Amino acid sequence: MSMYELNFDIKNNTSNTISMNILGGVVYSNDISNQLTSYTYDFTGFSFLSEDSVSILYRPIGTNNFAFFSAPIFAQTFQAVVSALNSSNLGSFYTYQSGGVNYIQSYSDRYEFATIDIYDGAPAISWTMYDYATQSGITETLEISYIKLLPPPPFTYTFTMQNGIDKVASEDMPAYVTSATTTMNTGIAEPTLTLSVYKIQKVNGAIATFVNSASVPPATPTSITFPVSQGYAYIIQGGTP
Amino acid sequence: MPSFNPTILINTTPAVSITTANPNLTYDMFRESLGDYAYEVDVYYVSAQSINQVMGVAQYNYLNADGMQRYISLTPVLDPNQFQAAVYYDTKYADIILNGNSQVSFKLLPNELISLTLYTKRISKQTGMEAPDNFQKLGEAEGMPKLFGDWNESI
Repeated sequence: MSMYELNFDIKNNTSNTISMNILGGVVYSNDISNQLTSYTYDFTGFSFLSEDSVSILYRPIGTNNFAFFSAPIFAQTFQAVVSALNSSNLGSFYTYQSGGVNYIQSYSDRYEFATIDIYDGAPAISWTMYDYATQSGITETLEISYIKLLPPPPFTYTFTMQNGIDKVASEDMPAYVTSATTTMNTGIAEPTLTLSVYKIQKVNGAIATFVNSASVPPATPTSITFPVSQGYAYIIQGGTP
Repeated sequence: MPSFNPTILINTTPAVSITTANPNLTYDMFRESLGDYAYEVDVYYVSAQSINQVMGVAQYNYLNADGMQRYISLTPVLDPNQFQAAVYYDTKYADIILNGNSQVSFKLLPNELISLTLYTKRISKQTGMEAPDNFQKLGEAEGMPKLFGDWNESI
């Protein structure tokens, strides 16, 4: 056993207090020292209401699939959000204010961070409706429900169509939704519609997995049931068989 | 339910830079060596630019044999008349061991520069072979001719 002296100079190059985790092995990814890639989240216009949870998508550099981390926040402050994110041990997040705007930032060359959601844990699902009616050359309305799943863990969701889709245009479909079962036609009245559900990656949409389909008579309320998994988004797409 | 996407930048300066006094050993190399090398810290010495920095509590976090997270707090005891922004911990009996399964955590204040010095005992996989005649004894036990005296000698 030999005596050994270790000397480290540690310099904070920012104007923010940073939670440091140092002298751990390479398995510890919450050590942000000497990391050059910054991830800055701008919270312009955001103020807390009843939010009690935060989630973040992340993936190790060089991998394809984003994973999902969520944690409760115990106060409606950005510092609480940072504490929740730091409990992931993915990095060391910190918050600061500049020009009246709140930011959360971290540095990591090991992980790529994507969307942060700050939400009230009560509603499990949110969705966005896309309306293509105003685009040139398209005379019919296309509605695609993009369901963004948030915790709690996997459950079954029932989606009910209410006279929503009756005609669709293929050129308006997102590029990542392709399937032989959902060939689209423009401007042609459809006697029957196939409603298809795809499980996709939320961020880049690179992977679309077919989940379920249902046959929909024109202008008839129809239900389709499909299992949903934590951390994935779902797209419901209408088309003719 | 608001969503926020990050602005990603590749910077030339990290948020926190750590350099070592040894030009042949970077901090990242040191981290990668943990596990192959383990350090038992006898002295933990920190000097900083501001007294507020050294007044903060540092925590030594480690995983015990059961895989449970444990920690030891390094709480400074400062002289109220102290002028130097420095603090010295005698950790000889605290079992602070840097082996890759442990970390030291603390708050680093804005624009702060601290110097951390650790006086350690280092062990490695070679340590068990450092007795002068281990291989010689091994050869004798196996009835082999004496080819070499120690592991680092050429035949």
